[in-house]
Parts: sequence; structure tokens; C-alpha cells
Amino acid sequence: MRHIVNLCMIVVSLMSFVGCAVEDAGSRSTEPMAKIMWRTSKSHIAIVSSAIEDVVHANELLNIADEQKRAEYMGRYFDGATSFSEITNGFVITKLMGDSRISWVVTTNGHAFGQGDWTVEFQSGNGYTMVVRPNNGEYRAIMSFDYGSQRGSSDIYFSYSLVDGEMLGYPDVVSSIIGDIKVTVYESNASTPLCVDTEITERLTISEYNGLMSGQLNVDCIDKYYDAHDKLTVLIPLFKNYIELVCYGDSYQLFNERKLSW
Amino acid sequence: MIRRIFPLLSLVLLFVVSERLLAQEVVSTEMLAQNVSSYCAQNYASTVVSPQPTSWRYAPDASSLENKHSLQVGGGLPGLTVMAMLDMLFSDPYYEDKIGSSNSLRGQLSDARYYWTKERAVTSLTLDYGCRVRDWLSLGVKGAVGFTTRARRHVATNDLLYRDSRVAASLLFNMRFDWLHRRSFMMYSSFGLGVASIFDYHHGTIIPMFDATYVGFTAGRKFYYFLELGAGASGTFRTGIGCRF
Repeated sequence: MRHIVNLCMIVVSLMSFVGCAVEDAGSRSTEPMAKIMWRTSKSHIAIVSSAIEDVVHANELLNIADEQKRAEYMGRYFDGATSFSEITNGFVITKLMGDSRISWVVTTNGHAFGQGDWTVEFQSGNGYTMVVRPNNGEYRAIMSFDYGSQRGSSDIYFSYSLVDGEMLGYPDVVSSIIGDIKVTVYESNASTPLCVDTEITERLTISEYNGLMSGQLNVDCIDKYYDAHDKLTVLIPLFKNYIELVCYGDSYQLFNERKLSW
Repeated sequence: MIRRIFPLLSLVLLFVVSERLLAQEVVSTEMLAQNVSSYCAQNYASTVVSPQPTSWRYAPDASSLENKHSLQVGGGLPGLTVMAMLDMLFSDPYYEDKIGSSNSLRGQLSDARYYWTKERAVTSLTLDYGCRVRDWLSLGVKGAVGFTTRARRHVATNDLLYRDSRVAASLLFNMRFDWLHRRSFMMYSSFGLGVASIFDYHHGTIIPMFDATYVGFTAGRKFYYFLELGAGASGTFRTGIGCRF
């Protein structure tokens, strides 16, 4: 009995030396990272896709001589928040995006589309500049942007075809985009004057149709501060109401992302 | 779960054992004297003078006072004071600067890319030396140390980015008041004042610190076990072993 009591006392004493968990751990999942990379990339693609789409439609509009058909085209391909006006050696597309009104200034330099370089500018000097040049039957769009904390460039190839709206029920252009968008996000910490870079490179293989996209997006995200390199693949099925994010082999589905209102 | 419940069960067991020890002490010298007197009266009434009952008065048991020094080592379960000390560094803006603002893209990616493992803490390990200067008073020095550690790992590869460890060490001048003595059992209270240092690999600070034992008891003679309820640098519930010399 005495030995049992002693043993119990020793056990009691030793128990107090055992460490205890005092805080729940964070979750180990790549899902938040995949969502952040996708959310960030989406805005870059939106800019590029929107610029291409608007230029293509504007080009078609320029080729319509008949005023009535031109007005009809405007009504079909540009929504009510978009206006179109011609200027010397080009035209201006003004769109209402969110609460702000933005304008793309397209300079044709007297060339027809596909016959020479077109320059597209949005907020010149502190915005986006795109040069569209012919490239053996398709188009090469070289775009650079310096907007806020984001600077980057894209070099993509695209082709397009006009779709009979009455056949498919959706009057639109179908464009195929292949290329790279490289973005560097500059961020400095307020309390520590440290400027850090996060590079995001997206390789696109997508088709866009009336605001709907399909295809694949490969995102590389390089964090120079931590020397970390993360990869994300975004699978965008056509006519599905979800996209699939694949990050480090983990797969996540995001629903209600089909209507990508770029 | 078992790890958290087991110490409590052990404490309950310790109380039960202590009750048994107390029950054994109820057989007083006065009762023994009466029994012996009765026995002598029956068998040796003519030849033996019956022993007179002693007048009992409280006096400290000499066996628990014969050693002047004591040294004990123990540990404490989480206490608010220790946890507050260890938590001081959690809110250090250095960490927010290091990973960046959570509003920035890099901050968001960093938070998403790395996760904190479960934090583990040993809230209090104590080493206590006491020197008896009166029957009821001991003066001494108490040292207490608590630490916590957690790791930052990659969510996909589980690679270690860095480990975050913090230590809170206290050194206190301690006064102990013994208010109950028995042959192998003692109860006491104590109070200590001193300083605590809280540090990790790049930060350190010193603050005033206290330690109070509301009630504590020991079981054993030369080597003993102790159990305390208190507050301060040593934690809330403390237990351990010690020796008198």
C-alpha cells in the first residue's frame, strides 16, 4: 500500500511537467492560397479580355457604314453604359465600370484592323497601354500596365470570330487567347520601409464567349520575400457553373463563377 | 483530453491519500495514555503506578522541524499570470511587420501559405529553496520558468519556416508561513516578490512579479510531496517533490 501511495505521488508530480496544448492550430489547407491567387489573377485577365473584346467590337462598328445598322450593332454589342465616339485617327470607347467611368482611346493611325498597329490606352501614363499588331492571320496584343501598386505586362495572341447571335442565341464574338500575363505587385510596409515584390505569371489558354470563359489558366506566384514559389491551375469548363482550382495537387471547386463579368 | 483530465484525477487521488494520513493522526497521546492506564489497572494494579495522562497542548511536531533547509522542485498547471506573461509577445507588432499587413497581397498569401502548428506550453516549472528561521517562518528563493513554442509550416509541404518560442522566467524572494505541523504532514501559505523576464530570440523585457500560495501542504518527512493552490509565477495548481536537510 505504501508503495502504491508513493507511486501515485510521483505520478502526480510528473504530470505537472507535461506540456499542454493551449491554442488550437491553424488549418492546413491550400484552399485559401488557391483562392487568393485566383482572385488576384482574375482582375488581370479581366482587363486584357475586356480590352480585346472592346477593340474587336469597335473595329466591327467602324466597318458599318449604314447608320441604322451601326446603331443596331451598338445596341447589341455594347450595353447602355458604353458609348462610342470617333476621333481623328481613332475612336474612344467609354464604359461605366462599377462607380467609375473609364475610357479606352484607340488610335488606328489610319490602318484598318489587321493591317497595321493599333494602340489602345487607358489613362495614359498611369494606366494600361496595349499595342495590337497583325501576326500571320491572328493578332498579337502586347500590353503593359502601371496601375496603383501593380505593374506588369502581357504578351498574348488572340483570334476572334463573329458569331451569328440568332443561331446560338448569344450575339457575341468568340475569342481565343493564348499567352502570358506577368504582374509584379509592389507593396511596402508602412512601419518598415521595405518594398517587396510578388510576381504573378499567368499562362492563358482560354476562349471567351459573351463574357463566358473556358479553358485553363496556370498561375505562378513568386514571393521574393520568402523565396516561395506557388503554382495554381484553374480549370474553367464551358457551360459549367463552377471552376476548379488545383493547388499542390489539392483540388477545390468554386461555384457560381461561370458568369465572369469581366 | 486524457492529458488534461489525468492531472485532475491525480490531484483528487492526492487529496484522498492526504485524508488517510490525517485520519491516522487523530489517535492522540491522550487516548493512548487512557488505554494504557486501563490496561495497567486491570493487570498490575498493586505493583505499577498508573501513568498520568499528559496535558496535551499544541506544539509543532519535532520531526518536521529538525531540518532547517528545504529544497523542492515542481510544476504548475496553467495560471492566468503565466499565460498573460507569455501572451505579451503575441501582440508584439514585430510579428505583424514581419509577415506584412494582412490587407496586402503578400500578407494574405503568407497567411494562406503558412499555418501555425498547435501551440504547446509548459506554464511553470519551479525550484524552491527555503531556510527555517522560526518554527513558523521560512525564508528562501523561488525560481519559476514557463515557456511556449509553436511552429510556422507550409500548408502543402509541411516544411518548417521557423519556430516561435517564448520563455517567462521569474526569480522571487519567498516567505513561507507554516501554520500546521504533524509528524509527516504540514500545511502552509507563502508569498513572494521578485522579477520576471520574458524573452524570445530577439525580444526581452523585465517586469515585477509575485507569487502567492493560498494553501499548500506537504506529505512526508525527509522526502516529501507537496501540493499547492495559489496564483502568480508558479501557476494555479502546483505539485512536486522536495527534501529537508
